[in-house]
Amino acid sequence: MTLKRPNFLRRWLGEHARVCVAAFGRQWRDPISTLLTAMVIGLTLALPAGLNLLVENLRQAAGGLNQTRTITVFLRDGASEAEGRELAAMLGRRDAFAAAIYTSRDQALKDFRARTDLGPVLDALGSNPLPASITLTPHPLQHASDLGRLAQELRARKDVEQVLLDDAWSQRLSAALAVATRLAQLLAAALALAAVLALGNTVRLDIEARRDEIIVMKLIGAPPGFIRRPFLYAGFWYGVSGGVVATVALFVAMHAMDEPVQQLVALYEGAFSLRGPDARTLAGVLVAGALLGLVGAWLGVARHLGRIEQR
Amino acid sequence: MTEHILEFHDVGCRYAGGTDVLNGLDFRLARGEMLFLTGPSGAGKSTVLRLAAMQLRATRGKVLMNGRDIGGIRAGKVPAHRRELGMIFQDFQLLYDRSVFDNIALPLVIRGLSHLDIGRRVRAALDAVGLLNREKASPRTLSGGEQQRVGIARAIVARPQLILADEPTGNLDPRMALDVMRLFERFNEAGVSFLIATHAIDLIERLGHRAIHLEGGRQSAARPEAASRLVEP
Ligand SMILES: Nc1ncnc2c1ncn2[C@@H]1O[C@H](COP(=O)(O)OP(=O)(O)OP(=O)(O)O)[C@@H](O)[C@H]1O
Ligand SMILES: [Mg+2]
Repeated sequence: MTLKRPNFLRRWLGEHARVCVAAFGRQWRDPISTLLTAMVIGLTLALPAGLNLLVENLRQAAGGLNQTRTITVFLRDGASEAEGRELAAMLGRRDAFAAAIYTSRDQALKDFRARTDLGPVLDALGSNPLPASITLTPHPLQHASDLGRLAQELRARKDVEQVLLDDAWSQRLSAALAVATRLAQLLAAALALAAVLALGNTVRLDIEARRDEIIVMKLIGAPPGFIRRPFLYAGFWYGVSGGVVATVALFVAMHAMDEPVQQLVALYEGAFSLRGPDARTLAGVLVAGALLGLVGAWLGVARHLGRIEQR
Repeated sequence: MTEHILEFHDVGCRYAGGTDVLNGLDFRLARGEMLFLTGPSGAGKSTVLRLAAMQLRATRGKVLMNGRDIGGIRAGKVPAHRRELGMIFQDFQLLYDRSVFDNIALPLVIRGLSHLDIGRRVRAALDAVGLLNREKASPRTLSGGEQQRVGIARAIVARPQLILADEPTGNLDPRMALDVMRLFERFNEAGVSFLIATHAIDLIERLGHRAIHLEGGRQSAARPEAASRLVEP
């Protein structure tokens, strides 16, 4: 009565391959409902992935704008031009700054006259109201909080009247991006839950549709793993199809966003191009889809397969 | 090897919330024996078979198979227990979305046999039930008697020692019913034990095998043919 089992592993793998292909074929033959399920999973994956991609792109863009950010140090009128130039030279040697340019009071006046029509007003004042200043261009990789500390240090100097740090907007942007990232995570969790539940229901329908087969399998003593297998592979394929849907959605969205983003960037005189999803993101989307599919199918199977009994 | 393949010791059974369906049922099925269960509708025949197949558990007494108490088998081991049996049903329980061959192959597929072995054994089973030329057919295109022969082939293909049959001839005309019983006898002669629940008293008399008569969940007198004929159609 014992049954010989030579090459057990090979046959086991063969059986898995057979069930895997059969599960794919079953879905292929029912494209509408497969597509609907794949869309549910696909959107679940595409929304957070797209949001993440957007955040990444904005970070990238903000990094590019770092270079245009400046710190302006206004010097007290008591400080001489020599002292001012010396301070500028000293700051220019610091790692934090790529450039430090001294602007004397006379130069500031000249620039002001050139830029505006307010020359007569200044003449009426009699004396030059403009302070000497040093314009600091931070190194592109310099962190915003370090710049804040440097600004504090400069403010403490006797010869410094005022320090203007025009990075408030960048800090706000950073904070907004952090919020967006967290939002993407929450969205991902909520959508994943919804997708798993939806998939559990799809699997329930699959199980109902194959009720007779399951009953017979149980009666002839098929191991639970054997009975479960087709449904788990079905979940896997739903998930992979969902991953493909998500990938397509991401590329379509990127394509649609590219032109308006280019226009926006042009307004800010930045050089920046939208980055599409990279290979790692795409692989992640597919793997996440397959996992979602498997988890959803597993839950559906655990909930519904046991209930199928004869009569 | 034990002398008895199946033993019921003072077995009681009750469905959830119901009254006792079996009451002190006590019998042995010898290895190689063909035993019938008769009795009116609702007497508990199917319940006996469900106990043996572990679709139910006894609420009292013991059920032994090959001398082993199957009441203690864990739920996870039930499939393994069923693989030691062959089961045949009144309504055949065939899968109509696949061929005769694939239906019969199922018990071998779940055991992980190779294509070659499966092909050989399924054809041997088809040959034994006289359906060798119908392997590609859909069961839907077969007559009731032929469908039951597919069910029988599926039950024997993995060579179980014991076959449980619940009214295997219930949906067949008398001639086909006799054919099926003769088929059982051939497997029985080859050593397979049978426990068969049936209403077909005349067939049992004709074949001359031992029968247990159930009435209201209890065994009644040894050969109650005359009495049962009054309640059977
Ligand atoms: N799932 C169930 N839940 C509750 N009671 C049940 C269940 N199945 C059967 N019964 C009851 O158990 C008793 C025996 O049923 P069983 O099916 O064993 O009878 P049977 O002898 O096979 O009858 P038949 O000849 O009609 O097939 C009947 O009274 C029936 O109503
Ligand atoms: Mg019955």
